[in-house]
Amino acid sequence: MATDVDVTTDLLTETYQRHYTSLLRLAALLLDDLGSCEDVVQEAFIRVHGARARVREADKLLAYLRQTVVNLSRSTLRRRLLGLKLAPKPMPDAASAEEGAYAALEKDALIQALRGLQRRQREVLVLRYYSDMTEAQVATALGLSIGSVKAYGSRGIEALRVRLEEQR
Amino acid sequence: MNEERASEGPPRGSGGSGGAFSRTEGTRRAGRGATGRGGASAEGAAGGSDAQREPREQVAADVPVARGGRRRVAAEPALDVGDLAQALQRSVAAIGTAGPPRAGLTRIRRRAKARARRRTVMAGGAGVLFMAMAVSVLTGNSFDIVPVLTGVVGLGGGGGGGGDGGGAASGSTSPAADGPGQVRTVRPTGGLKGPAIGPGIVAATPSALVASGVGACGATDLTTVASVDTVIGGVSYGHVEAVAMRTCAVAGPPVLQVDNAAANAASSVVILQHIPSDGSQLPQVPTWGTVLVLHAGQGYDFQFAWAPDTCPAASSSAGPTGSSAGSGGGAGVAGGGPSAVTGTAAGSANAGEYQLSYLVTATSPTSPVTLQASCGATVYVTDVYERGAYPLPKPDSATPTPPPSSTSAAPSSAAPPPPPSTSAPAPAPSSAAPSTGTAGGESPGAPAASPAMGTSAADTSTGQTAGP
Repeated sequence: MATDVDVTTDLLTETYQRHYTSLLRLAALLLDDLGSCEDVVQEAFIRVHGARARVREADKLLAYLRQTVVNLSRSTLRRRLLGLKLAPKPMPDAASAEEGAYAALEKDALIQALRGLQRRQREVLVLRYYSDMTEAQVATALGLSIGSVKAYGSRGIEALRVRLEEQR
Repeated sequence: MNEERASEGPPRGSGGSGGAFSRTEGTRRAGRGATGRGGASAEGAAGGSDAQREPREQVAADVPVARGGRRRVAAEPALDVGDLAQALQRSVAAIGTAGPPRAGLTRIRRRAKARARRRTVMAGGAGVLFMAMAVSVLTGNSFDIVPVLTGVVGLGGGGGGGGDGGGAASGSTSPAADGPGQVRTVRPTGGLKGPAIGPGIVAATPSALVASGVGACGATDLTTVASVDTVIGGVSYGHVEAVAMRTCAVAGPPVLQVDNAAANAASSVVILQHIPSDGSQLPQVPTWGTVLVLHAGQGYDFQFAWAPDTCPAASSSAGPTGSSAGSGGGAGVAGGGPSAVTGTAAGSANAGEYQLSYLVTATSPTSPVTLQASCGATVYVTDVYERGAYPLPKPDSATPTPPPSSTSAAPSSAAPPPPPSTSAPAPAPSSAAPSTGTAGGESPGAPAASPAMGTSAADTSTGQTAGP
């Protein structure tokens, strides 16, 4: 029993070391400020920590984390839509090192175009092409059918193309 | 910068993710370097049929279909999904380059544990609350959930006869003590020696009654008479008789409450289940927690034994130490008892006097009897049983002990019987503590009237928590 706990704890540590950055970037693609991204990723790890007794495989752990990040990002956006639209979240002090990266992100045309997409489309594209998940995995993570994933993906790419073209 | 890369992706992307690119461009093989050929890719709708192994391909294949739907875009440059992947990677490449924060995992663990703890507490509290509500609904009004809630939440305080004007340290009250100066207990399991097991456990009684199908007996349904019958070897034996006036049910074990004027009963008196090895002469009632269904005129009994604890030898020097009235409670709690007992000084001479009363529904005290102990006491109690099923203990030899008080009066806090100090042969100098009291007279019912030093002295002397 104790070894199980140790194993899962180590798994969590390893996952944290290896995938924290990619999860942070995933959140950055889904969200629009870095402070929220860090909160979201940290929250995802907290939840995984609570569920670590149930999740013992690295793949599933990562999938769980990604799904949690997507869901939390969605909630964050929704919350912001509801109430915090007027007050954009200030950048946290600790993230000063990331500010440059964040500023670059703000100027990135692709990112801007991505943010203009519908939420579902954006999620599908990011999971599909940034996280390199299969359509089936994306469908599982987003709770959609594979057909919907295909549709969102194709329309998302189309819309992205239009937006990029408009930005030129 | 990524703008160009994304839009003009294909030429550059062909270097990095050529595979993906070429696959997506499978709709138009020749077009690797040529992006702007929207028309060419539009025809890829047909080319999309070359479903290759990667699902990514299918999305790409879908693109021209969508585009076909919208003629407007037909002339736009193709967006290559392989390049999209690369462009996305590049866009966020600068984020998180420092790696995961070093203290992050520690922080995550700490928060996760705190959250789990909080969840446990919340779930437990909700469960208890739910149980209490269910029980109160099922048993009607005969069960008061307030003490349960206060016990669970740890608020303490809400005891019965709150006559204390002094500041009760409600913040530090543990659930063990129901209020200053009270022991409202009894659900001690065998061998457990400690003050007051909280009222949360008392709540179990009504739920046991539910099965009987009869309403629980309330204080108004019963005529109870508590009496001290005999004293054998310094131990006072008494019993409580209760007669039902209407059909109702009662569950054991009986719940007792002990009060004293010095308000330190919670730390100085222990209530225990009677077991054969405890040395008392109580009858051996085999049940513990039985349920009796009574019809009008039927009754039940239970017995108790009051064994005063022996005072420590050096208790004669307790006088001077008690001069600080406020800190008396702290000194009085010696045996791990809760420090709920503050120094609400009751300047009475009856510091060794306790009122023991039976709580029918675990909330309403009835007919207290007065008992003496200078340095705390241990109470042994039997379960309830049908009237007369077990004999009362009889004195073996000629012990000159007339049975003292027997009151069936209302549970007034005063209840000052004639001081039976002579009849209760406390082994220790029971007059030591009262002798330091400033109020020489007997004023048991005025707790906060005269904050004299005598009570604090009594605190320290009686507060030596019951020995084994």
